[in-house]
Amino acid sequence: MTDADAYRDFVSARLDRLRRTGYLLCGDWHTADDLVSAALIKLYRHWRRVSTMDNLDGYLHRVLVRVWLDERRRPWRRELPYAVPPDAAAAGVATDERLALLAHLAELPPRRRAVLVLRFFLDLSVEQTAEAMGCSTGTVKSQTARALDAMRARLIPAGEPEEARWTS
Amino acid sequence: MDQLSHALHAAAADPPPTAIDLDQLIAGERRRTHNRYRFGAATGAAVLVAGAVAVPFALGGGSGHIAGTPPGCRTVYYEPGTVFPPTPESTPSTPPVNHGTSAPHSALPIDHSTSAPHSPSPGVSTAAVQPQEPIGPSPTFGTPPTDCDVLEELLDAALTDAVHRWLPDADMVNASVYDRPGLFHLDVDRSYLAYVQLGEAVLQVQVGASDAYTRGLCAYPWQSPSCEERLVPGAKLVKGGLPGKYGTTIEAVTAAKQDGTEVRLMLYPDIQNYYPGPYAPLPLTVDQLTAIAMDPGLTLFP
Repeated sequence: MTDADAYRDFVSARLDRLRRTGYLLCGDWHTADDLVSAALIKLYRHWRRVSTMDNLDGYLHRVLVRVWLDERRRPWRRELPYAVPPDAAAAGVATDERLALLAHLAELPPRRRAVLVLRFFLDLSVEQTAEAMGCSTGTVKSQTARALDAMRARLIPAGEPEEARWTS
Repeated sequence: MDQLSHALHAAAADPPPTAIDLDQLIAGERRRTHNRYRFGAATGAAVLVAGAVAVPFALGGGSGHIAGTPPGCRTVYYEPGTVFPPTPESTPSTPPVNHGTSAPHSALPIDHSTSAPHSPSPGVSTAAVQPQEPIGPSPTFGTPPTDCDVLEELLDAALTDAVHRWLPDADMVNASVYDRPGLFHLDVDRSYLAYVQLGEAVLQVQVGASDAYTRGLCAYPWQSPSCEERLVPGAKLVKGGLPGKYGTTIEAVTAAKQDGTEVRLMLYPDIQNYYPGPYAPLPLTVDQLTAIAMDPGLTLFP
């Protein structure tokens, strides 16, 4: 099996999950495809060296998160180019919940958002998340706690009993 | 927790068809690599020819200097036609290349409403009255770098040591996006750039070539009109703070070294990840930043 074949097999098995991860990070499917493409190109460039790694998935997650964080740093990503929000999808309970979740995620700082996605979508452990984020496990824990606090505050209206839907 | 996990999975359900074509991606990357090697070989041949012509003049005591591409570099290192290293008597008529106008400034949390003097706009000179004449002793020059990858590693080690001298337990995390293990990368403007996460702050370090030692750091058009440079052994220094967003401060130190290297350090709270604060005090003082900038390892000419 050639390098390209091995690369193709590896990526094909993970492409769908990668795209979903990218979508949760950035909130837009087109941007998610851009992010995943950029991550896959980086992976391909280093394929010979990294394909023997024990935790190649972790490496790929790290690349994806960093590509996204870099994208966030770019000035044209900081402000949306439209004055009014674009048309929303037809209303429905599931759609509303989905949009609300994405909106709340979008309000989180990038690294906290990434921590939530890595831990609760990809089901990575604290250690794996720390490796993917390039930070300490303590930072992951604190970022997770802050992110969950923020999500909880947004999702539970003031005055309602403090029976949090999501606890850490 | 399961609910959050479930909600995330539901939110990402039903993805549209992907535009990612793996075969196209692989083919494009192969083509890029092929072109890079081909262009690199052509450039290398041109540099060899140019070097063969230029070396006799240089060895013969002429005033010309070799401005070429160090073998192994991934991008051209000097501007075409640049006289480098700069001679003490050279006084450029045009502003020097701003080594920090692309990624670094765009990533800084600068409050532009109060930091007009730091505007990177090259056409607006707020320091026209600054001295243009050579200041200080004649510069000395080292051996130009021969391999950018090696230099990146040397700079990584030097920066790590310099920071750990002041923060022994600091966890220095590469906050840039490049999927390489080190800290520095060769930026598009041919300077070496590092973003380092230091706790709740970001340290931005830029190491580039400059003739500021001979012409004066304050001559840069983006420096404040009140800019004052200080001559210390082996370098000229400018240091001071800039107003950042949300009431934060960006500490900045620039050192133009005698060997033709310019080191810029900026330290600021990581407002992207810790907004809205409160922000922890910056982990390094201006004097410590100055000491790091003056570290002899942070040079283009090791």
